[in-house]
Amino acid sequence: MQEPTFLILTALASGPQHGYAIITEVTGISAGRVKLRAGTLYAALDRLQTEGLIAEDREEIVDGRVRRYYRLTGEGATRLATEAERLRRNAAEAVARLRTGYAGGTA
Amino acid sequence: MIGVLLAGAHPGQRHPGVRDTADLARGALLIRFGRAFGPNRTAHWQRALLIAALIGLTMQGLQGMRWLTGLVTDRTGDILPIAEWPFIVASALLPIGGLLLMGAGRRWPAAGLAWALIAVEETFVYLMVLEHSIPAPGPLALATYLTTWEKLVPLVATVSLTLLREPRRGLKSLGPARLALGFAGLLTAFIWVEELARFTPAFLAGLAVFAVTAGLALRSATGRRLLILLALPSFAYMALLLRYFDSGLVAVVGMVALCAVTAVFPRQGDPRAPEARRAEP
Repeated sequence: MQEPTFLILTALASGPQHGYAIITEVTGISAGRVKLRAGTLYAALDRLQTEGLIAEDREEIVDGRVRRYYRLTGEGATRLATEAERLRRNAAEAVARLRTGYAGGTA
Repeated sequence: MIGVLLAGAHPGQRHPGVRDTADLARGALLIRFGRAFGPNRTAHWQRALLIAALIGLTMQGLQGMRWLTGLVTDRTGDILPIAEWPFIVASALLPIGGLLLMGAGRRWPAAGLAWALIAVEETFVYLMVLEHSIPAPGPLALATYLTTWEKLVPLVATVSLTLLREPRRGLKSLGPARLALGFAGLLTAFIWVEELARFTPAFLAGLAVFAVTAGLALRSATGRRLLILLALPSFAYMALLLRYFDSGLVAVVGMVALCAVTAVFPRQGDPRAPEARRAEP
């Protein structure tokens, strides 16, 4: 799973969000490292909908424009949890090896 | 999407920047081609073939009606032998019957009529060749219409109806019923383009119907998509009549372009991921 996809699913894990909220959430989660543009976001949302990982939740009219909310599906939550666990294990392994190797190699 | 762009705009900014514009164009291409070649591509291409069948049968029906009108009004003075009249009548009525059955969701009877249309037209061409081995005006001029385009279009319709379930998917994907008038009007106008030079009432009536319905269609995204779809076979047919291109090339390019555009631009509301949606609670 690519990082933007992971971050979008993570942004939706706490509840339904509209497009601009997803962009700000992703920027926040990644500490400003990943800044999604509108075209990239909506292409990703379309693909994730096709894959069944997210779904349209509801629409609101704000300032005369449709604001569409997206939510994580059950399948999306499972995929996100699996990916998060994989990343956690990899990160834990990297940290453990660094502690051992780096400490041993330089001490 | 516009809301997202506005929310992220600087004060006083009136247009998206170059990078945002490039990103929007890239995103649009990814969405379009992702649908046509993504996980649910089969459903989109099946719908595209059913729309091709629909347009093909309509064009055949209109062409048949045109012949029939010429036969009845005898404008050209080339009266066909009475034995050939049933072929002309059949070439007008069979596609219309196929369209009605397609609309009623009767796949096998519709496919049967499409097969019958091919058989009738092939028999007609065979008889023409046998009967008029020496080039002559009139009937042979009619026979020259039955070239590759006229063979390919009913063939696509026949194969699509024979192989694909739920023929009404094509109708549903084309747009709401009120756009059907625009559909028929556009095709009529272009199929009768030969009448342009004569400014006959038939052509002017077709053009008027087209103008009104095209204006109505432009008001919605579905209508604009429909116009693009119909413009492809219509212009292909016009180019064929005006003899700009080889018939076979026009036929193949026209039908492939029609299917490709239909698949890349699915109608808003077409099922996108039925398998995934069914899995949802």
